[in-house]
Amino acid sequence: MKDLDCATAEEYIVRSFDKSITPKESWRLANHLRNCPHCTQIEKEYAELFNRLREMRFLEPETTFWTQFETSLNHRLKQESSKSFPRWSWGWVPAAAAIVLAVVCAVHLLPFSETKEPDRPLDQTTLSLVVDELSDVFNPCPRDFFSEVAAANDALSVQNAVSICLNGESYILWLEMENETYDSFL
Amino acid sequence: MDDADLVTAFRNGNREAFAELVRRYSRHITLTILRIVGDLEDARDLSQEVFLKAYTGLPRFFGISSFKTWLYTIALNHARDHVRKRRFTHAEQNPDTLPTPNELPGEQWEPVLLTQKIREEIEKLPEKQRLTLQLRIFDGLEYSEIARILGGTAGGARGNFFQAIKTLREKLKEIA
Repeated sequence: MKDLDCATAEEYIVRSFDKSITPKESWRLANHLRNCPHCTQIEKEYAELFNRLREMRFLEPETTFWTQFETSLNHRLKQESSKSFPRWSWGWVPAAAAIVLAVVCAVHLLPFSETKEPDRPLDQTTLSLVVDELSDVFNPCPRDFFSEVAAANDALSVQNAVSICLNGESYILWLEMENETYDSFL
Repeated sequence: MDDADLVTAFRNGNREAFAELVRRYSRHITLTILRIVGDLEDARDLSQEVFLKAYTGLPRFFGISSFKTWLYTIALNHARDHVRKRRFTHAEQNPDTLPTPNELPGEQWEPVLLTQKIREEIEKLPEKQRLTLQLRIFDGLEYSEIARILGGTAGGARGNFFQAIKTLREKLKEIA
């Protein structure tokens, strides 16, 4: 097997201290280090650096800090729960319904839908797949909600159904990653 | 119970499940924020606000990402917003938390000085490299988790970590 070049060896050295090196890489690195004083010196420098960094991770507050932290947080959570707990569970459903209905209505009302060639209507198999996909995306929305969407299958085309799914997923991802509300999304 | 079970339990009305999530992550989240804002009191307040956000935001959490990466994402965004508003840096705060040369004998001062220099060099790294380094070394996150939190791919996160460590080694060599 061809010997490592020093640049790759340096990457493997970092991986070895990072504990993300594979056995094969480890074996190749050991072979390289046996014959390369330059990389052996670099390995010592990385060992020193990783030791310093790992010592730094233990600089943390005293025990009393954590006790106070927990007490104070519990107090704030109690205040928060008294005003918000009952209303959270289905608060996003109207927004999700609004998005879906807006797409469905747009197909009927906007002028471009008349001038364009009609989209292929949704067959029952595709429709059930779409409903399943919507269920996944909007989980745990009640199944009745999707039944209503399915009931409107005259308005649902393949193209529109795909749009709904894609918009729905983007919407959920956006909410999750940005921790925003549906109001700000709209 | 894993995090997903606790999230489900909380969404079904079990508030104790959220308390368990707080116990699991409060230390990590607070220390992560502390490393970004550099002030313990601010870190405590911000960390509590992160858990409050998580508490009210869990209904909008659909499990596409893991709870852990979701929580870290909220924490990092919150801490960075705070730093942008306050316009002060970790490096400016550090001297207060470290002993001065007069407080330690000469042979003990050298490693403290070196650690302080490493901290300063970490602060000078590009933001993505710095956060990747901190999340990997201090929080022990997987590269895939870091990628989810900071954006990009696991390979990209690994590359950022390597660049950060390489830069620090070169700086350490200059100091030595």
